[in-house]
Amino acid sequence: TTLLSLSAHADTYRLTHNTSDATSWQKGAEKFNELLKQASDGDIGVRIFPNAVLSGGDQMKQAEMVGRGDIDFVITSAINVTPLIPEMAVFSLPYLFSNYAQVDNAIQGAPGDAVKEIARDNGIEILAWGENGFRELTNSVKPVSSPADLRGMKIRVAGPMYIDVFDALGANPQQIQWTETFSALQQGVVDGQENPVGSIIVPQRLYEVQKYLTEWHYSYDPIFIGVSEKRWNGWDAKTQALVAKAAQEAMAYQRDLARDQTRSGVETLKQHGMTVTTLDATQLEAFKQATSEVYDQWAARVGEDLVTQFEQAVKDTASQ
Amino acid sequence: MRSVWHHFEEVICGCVFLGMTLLGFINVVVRNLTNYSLASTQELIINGMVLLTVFGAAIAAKRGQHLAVTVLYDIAPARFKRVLVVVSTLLVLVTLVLCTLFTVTLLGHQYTSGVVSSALQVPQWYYTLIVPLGFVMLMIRQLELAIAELRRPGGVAC
Amino acid sequence: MLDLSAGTQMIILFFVLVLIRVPVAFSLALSAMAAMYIMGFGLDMVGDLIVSGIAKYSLLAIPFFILAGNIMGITGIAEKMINFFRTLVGGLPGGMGLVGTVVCLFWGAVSGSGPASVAAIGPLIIRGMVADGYSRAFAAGLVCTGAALSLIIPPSIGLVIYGILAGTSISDLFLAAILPGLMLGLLMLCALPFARLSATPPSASESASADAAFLRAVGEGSGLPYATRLLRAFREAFWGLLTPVVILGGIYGGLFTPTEAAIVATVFAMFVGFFIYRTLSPRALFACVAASAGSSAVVMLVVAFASLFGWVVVVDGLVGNYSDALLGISQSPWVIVLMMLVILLLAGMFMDAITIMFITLPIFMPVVQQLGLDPTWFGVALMTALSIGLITPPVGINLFVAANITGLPLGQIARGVIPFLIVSLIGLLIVAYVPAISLIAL
Ligand code: NA
Ligand code: NA
Repeated sequence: TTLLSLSAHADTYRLTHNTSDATSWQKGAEKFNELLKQASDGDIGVRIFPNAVLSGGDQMKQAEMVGRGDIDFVITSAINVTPLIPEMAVFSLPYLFSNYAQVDNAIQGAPGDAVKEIARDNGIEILAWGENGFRELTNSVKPVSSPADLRGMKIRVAGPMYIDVFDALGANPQQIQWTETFSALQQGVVDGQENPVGSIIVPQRLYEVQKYLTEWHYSYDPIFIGVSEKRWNGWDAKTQALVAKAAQEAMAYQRDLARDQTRSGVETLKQHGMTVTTLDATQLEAFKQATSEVYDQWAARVGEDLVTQFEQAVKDTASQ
Repeated sequence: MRSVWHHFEEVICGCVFLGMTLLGFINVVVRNLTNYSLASTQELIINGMVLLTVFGAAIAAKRGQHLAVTVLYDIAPARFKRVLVVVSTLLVLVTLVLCTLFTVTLLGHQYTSGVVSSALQVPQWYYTLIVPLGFVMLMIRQLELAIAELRRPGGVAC
Repeated sequence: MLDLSAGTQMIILFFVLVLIRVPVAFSLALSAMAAMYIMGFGLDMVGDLIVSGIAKYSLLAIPFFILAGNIMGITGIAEKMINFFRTLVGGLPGGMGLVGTVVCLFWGAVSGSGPASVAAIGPLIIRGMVADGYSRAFAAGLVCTGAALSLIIPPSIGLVIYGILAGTSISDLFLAAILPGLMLGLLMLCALPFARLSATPPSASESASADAAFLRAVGEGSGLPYATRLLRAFREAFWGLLTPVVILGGIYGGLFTPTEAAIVATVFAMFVGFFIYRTLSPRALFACVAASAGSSAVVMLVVAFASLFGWVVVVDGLVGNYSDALLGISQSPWVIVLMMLVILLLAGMFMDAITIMFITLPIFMPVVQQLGLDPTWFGVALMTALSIGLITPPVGINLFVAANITGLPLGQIARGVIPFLIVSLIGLLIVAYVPAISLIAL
């Protein structure tokens, strides 16, 4: 691992992520590789393994493997890391963020750094934050603009906190593997699901089986580029700086891409005949009230100090 | 006592398999008829399947059911058959010893890092513990099968 | 000097291990670990890969469909189904050949595994066909081929695994496979006239004794009119005939997922066994459950260890190399598809369907994607080729099970299978080159 070696002996590190090779995650990873090579005159690069193939398809295991130093780099979303680092649940607390300005202020600032510190204790050096997006609701039954509309609706959700959230809203949350979700929506095994527009709902063609979208920004999901602490500590300061800079630029690029895809994605969904419901402040407040108990319960698990830091950053953000 | 030892895996697998069936069915009924969700229990069913795989493999080993290609074995003379049994059993045992070591290592990592399961949020190593235990059981059964095969004159199990 | 990549060395080692009778599952694991050692990367992950290889929700369909099929075997549902079809059309000359085929098709809609089907319905069909003048070898050939259709007609363990590996909707695959499965059954009927060519006829005494037993079972010669006998047989078989309706109706009616369907089928079989036919005792059920755990573990252990093998295939870059080579040979999608099918048929002579999928799909799927072919249709064509592997020597698991239940030598059964093998190959070509048969249902 020296920068003096010839490019024929370039260090190629392994990078794992858990989406397909057509997503903004992959584009971000490719950008990272490109920038690394540029900055190191071809001495450092990454080989990208999509679909979590390095961890046998298990997206939750990637972070664990990077933490132990078995894999060099990972791009994954905070939700996938919560089994290993429970504090990662802080980002997705229901209705913590309501817009990008709040997100950026908190995650790119001191609260984000506090999470980095915690990840470091678990063997992962987080180099930069990217974006999976705000998770929005789709369903095939009716427009949803109040918790009452959700009553009894069967919704496929992504994790334990979301089960609690949908239980609190009076819905009937279900955990179904992603591979079976499309057909489950198609056959009506479940009525709806929640995911980011740009990175999932549009590219996975969920508009084929869903009629209604509610833009309720109920939970935010960031992604990050992390490197194993073992690998990180083996580099000299110059290499560290080079890698960190490439990661930050790559994630900034990915974040812009994801936001573009979300904006154009909502238009795409309308073109495919989906009815889009956007909520006003009063309507949002009803959802926020209904889920405040779940918020408190999960905030306690995350740790009051960390949650307070995030809440403060949100408050400090000038309203748009 | 002897009978318990001989049917150890059958009892475990039978109970777990029936439990998985019941839990899975209740989940379907509850989702369709009520407004409750037992979604997190899926995790128990999936890890039940992990148990079925490793301990069920021991049942299959006992009965000589594991898929194997016997073309060469079938045409081999009796003495060479014995060599094949010894060599293949040794290789199976080596494989299982390695797999046991690697899963025990994983167990250690999970114990140290405190990683929890994604749905029920219990320590992940509770589930992982099943795997090396099953491999040890499987090792014992493979060894018993090979001894039985070597004792049976010209015997073949497939 | 040969400079082989770790992945290629792994494949060679795998075949050597398999040849010296190391079970397929362990051969996969050992050769993969050897390759990881050579690569100097991956051994630390073996534990993770084994666990994540099996702890997949969709794989649940495998143990449950095996269990459901086995319970239906011991409750007598299979026997009652055969009696019904025998009463329906068995009176025609050579009619038991038709009955055997129809029962295989119906059973295919209940069971997801080929060998399990041979064991469940084979003895009864063979007995009936011998009574009707067919040779045991030909009857066994029909059963082996018909039972192989269990892998195509939904529910299918093979299609479940394909769906997971290819990232294709499992319900779509199930839907697409129905028509091709029925067509293959129809083609089997075309082989019936060739019964006399492929095997020696049964002895008169063999035929007579089987006949008497069978006629008693279906009430023929009891003096009752056809309609009465048919109605009685239908009433008896009703719950068995209902099983496919419950499974497919539940999936497409939105009550449960294909994976959950396997669980529902299991509970349904238990319900019928305990409360309708009253043929199931708790003790028999428990023994059946334990035995099913053993047979599903045979498949699942291959899946677990194939995850190590597949990992090396991906990390070593074998996938890219082989699929590039495959694409480089011809520009025509049809030629490449033909080559892939031939590879599957050749592999099917030696290996079981699931192992083959784990080895070939990482290579085939990028090619399918690049050629812009429909992955659902490809899954059906692939499954048709792999189902043929169940009946081709030297390693045809259905043939082994049939030899086991009939006591006939493997060679005779292989001869009995020949006419069916020929029509199956014709069927494969039709499935492969007329995608509409699969896709019309979607
Ligand atoms: Na089937
Ligand atoms: Na074969």
